[in-house]
Amino acid sequence: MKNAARKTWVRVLCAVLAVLFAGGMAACGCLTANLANYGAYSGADETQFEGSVMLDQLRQDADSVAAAYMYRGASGYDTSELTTRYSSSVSNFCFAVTNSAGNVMLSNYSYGTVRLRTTYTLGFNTNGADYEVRCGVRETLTANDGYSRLSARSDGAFAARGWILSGFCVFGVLSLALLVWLCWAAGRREDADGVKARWIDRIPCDLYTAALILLFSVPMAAGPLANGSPDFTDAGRVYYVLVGAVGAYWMALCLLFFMSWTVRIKLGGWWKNSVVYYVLRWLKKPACSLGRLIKSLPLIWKTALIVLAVLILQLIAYSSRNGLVWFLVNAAAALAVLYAALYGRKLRAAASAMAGGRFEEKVDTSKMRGEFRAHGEDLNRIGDGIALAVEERMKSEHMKTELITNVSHDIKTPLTSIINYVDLLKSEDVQPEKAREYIDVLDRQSQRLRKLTEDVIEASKASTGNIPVELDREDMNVLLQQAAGEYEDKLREKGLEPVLDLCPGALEIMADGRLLWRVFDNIMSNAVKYAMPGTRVYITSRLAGGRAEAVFRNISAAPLNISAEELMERFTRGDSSRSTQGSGLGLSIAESLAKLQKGSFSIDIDGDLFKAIVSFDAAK
Amino acid sequence: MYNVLVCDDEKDIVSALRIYLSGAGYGVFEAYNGADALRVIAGESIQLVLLDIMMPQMDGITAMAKIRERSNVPVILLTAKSEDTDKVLGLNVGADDYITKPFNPAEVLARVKSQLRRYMQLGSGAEPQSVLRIGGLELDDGAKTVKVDGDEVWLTPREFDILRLLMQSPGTVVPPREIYRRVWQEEPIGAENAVAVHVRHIREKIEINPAEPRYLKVVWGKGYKMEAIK
Repeated sequence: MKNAARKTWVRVLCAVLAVLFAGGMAACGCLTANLANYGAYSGADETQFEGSVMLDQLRQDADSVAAAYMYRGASGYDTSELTTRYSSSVSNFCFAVTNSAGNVMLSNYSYGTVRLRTTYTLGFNTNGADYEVRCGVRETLTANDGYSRLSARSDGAFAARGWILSGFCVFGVLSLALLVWLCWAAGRREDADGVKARWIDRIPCDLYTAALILLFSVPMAAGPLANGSPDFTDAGRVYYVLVGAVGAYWMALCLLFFMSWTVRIKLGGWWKNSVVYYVLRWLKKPACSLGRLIKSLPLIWKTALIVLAVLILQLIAYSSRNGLVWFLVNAAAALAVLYAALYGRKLRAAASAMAGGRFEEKVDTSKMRGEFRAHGEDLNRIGDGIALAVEERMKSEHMKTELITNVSHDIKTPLTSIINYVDLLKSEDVQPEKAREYIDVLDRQSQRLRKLTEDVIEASKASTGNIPVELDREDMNVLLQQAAGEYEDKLREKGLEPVLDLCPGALEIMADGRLLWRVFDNIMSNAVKYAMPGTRVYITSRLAGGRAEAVFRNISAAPLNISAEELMERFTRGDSSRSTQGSGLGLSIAESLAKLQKGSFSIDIDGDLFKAIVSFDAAK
Repeated sequence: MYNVLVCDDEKDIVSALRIYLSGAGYGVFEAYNGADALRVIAGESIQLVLLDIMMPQMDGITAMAKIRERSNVPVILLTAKSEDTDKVLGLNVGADDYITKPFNPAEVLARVKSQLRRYMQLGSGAEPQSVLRIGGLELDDGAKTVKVDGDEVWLTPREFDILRLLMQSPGTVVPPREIYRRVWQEEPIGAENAVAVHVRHIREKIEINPAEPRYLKVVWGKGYKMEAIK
């Protein structure tokens, strides 16, 4: 089958056969329909069949007789013309016009004596009187006319009615089978495997189909088929041949249609080879560039265009006086405004989340369009950038703390040896006296180095928040008393007098007692180091506007010719000579630690008056 | 004579400690890592160990755990780390005390002495009811004396009363106001400061390092408490 399907001549033969069979089927089908129409397949015998075939002709002749008789009185018309027209030598048609009384008015045969077959009676009225035309066909055919030909043909057709019906079925089945097989074989070739398109298959499919439909409808519009089917008259023969030809023509068109479509569908992508597709594709580019042009317009222009479009639509809707159109236009405009508001709100929420430091919150831009989407994506990028920067910074701060802590720990070991051996040296009886002074310097400086190492670790941890903080309810007044008590002796040694002036009752705050002590510790040790001997150190507390404040005041021994901000910076000390003990980190540590507990630390300089203020939210 | 094992990977620190300890009359053994220390403890009669935490081969914490498997000899850890979490870890694995580098020779000697006293006097005879004891701290209410690791310290009557009040309820935080009321027997009107000064003085007398007290702790912002030690 496959090999046969590949051979061109086989397919051409099959196509020709299919066309011929289709022609046969059409002709036989038409004949069968006529036969069936006159009852050949529904039990009529030959005489009945012939009679019903002749009846049409009989009616026509009866009509013309009646019409002619009606004009009998008209000038120049002789009813004898009828009798000559239908004389027994030229016609087998017999008629008799009778009046209402049954008297024969006009006849072309001896009424009542001749045997008739297939009779017909037509009643008519003329000049106010009723008449009848009684007509029929002679039993014995005397003339060679339409009736004798009808008789002969209908007899033949009736005798062959079985063959004609089976011819219709056989031709039909064969041509349909060939059509199916040809479709299956379509596109195969002798010289190649698979399905190949021919030139005919390359015609755009919609054009091709339209052309075939046009060709298909030609015989229906212009052909003899439009006038209905003549039966077994002379015209009938030509008619059946024509029907066969049209059937064959249609079959040929069907073959062209189905075979080509089979090939197209087999090859796939048939819709791409169509005029509609080409037109759409051709339109795509300008449509896209128009879209891009609109997209690239500035937002103001775009908005103006939209507003203009809405206005024009409104105008159209208004002038059309159609309530539905008006409603649809306004509903669309309202939806657009809602859309803008919805996404505006989303973008606003994302921006405020970002402002609040939550950079990981992203705008969902998947459902946004145009400017909103661009804006949302920009916001996301800003968030990503900041989050990355923050993370990098945290990492680097952490590494810095780690480095400082590790280095400081490593310094501690050799420092231990230095302190210990300096101490051992001190216990030896070292000569000369100058050497003892040097040892004292070593002792002092090694102790200072020790303090400095500890402060560096604490400062780096406090400033990066690398200290565990446990906030609890603490009484600031109690802590101030404790701090003052701890420092009482040290202050008095330096000739300083502590003055404690605390607000009455408890001053409760949320803080980490240990860390807050370190804050006060630093402030107090600062006072011990830098306050002018013989002055007072004031420690006061108060509750002001929901804030609990601890204020430390002392008079600086050295002139404070630097600003509070500078004093707060790391390694800055009240005396620029750096001769006294201290790392210069105390205030910076105090500030960091206060911040860690959500408190604040500030200093104030007024002449030589040094003021440190620690404040926290009063606990509820 | 008590034997002390000094273990640190820094030879200079070990020699310095040996000089101080032998000067104070102790027999000194030296080790430079955890494994050495375990060997010395197995072979010699050792009454106290000074152990560095960060050492090569076997670190102090591991050595500490190994020592505790066999003996309850007092161990004082020496370390450069000074965070509270490290101290807690050290004490949890069984150390008796903790000294952070860089340390003072005097402080080391005081702590060594304190640990040895407690270790050697453990389980000594019955005491009268009037004696309050917390660790190496001993308060005799009858005789009005206070001893730290067997050495008597002199306290003023106020200091004595405050210490007794705190030792009566170890582990409890007592606010300064409460202390004032109970000791001075009057309402404090802006005078709680006096309590803080007295507590500071007591700590200077009974603690080896008043800034890092073992017994009398300052609970900042709340009050004072006596640590509950056996």
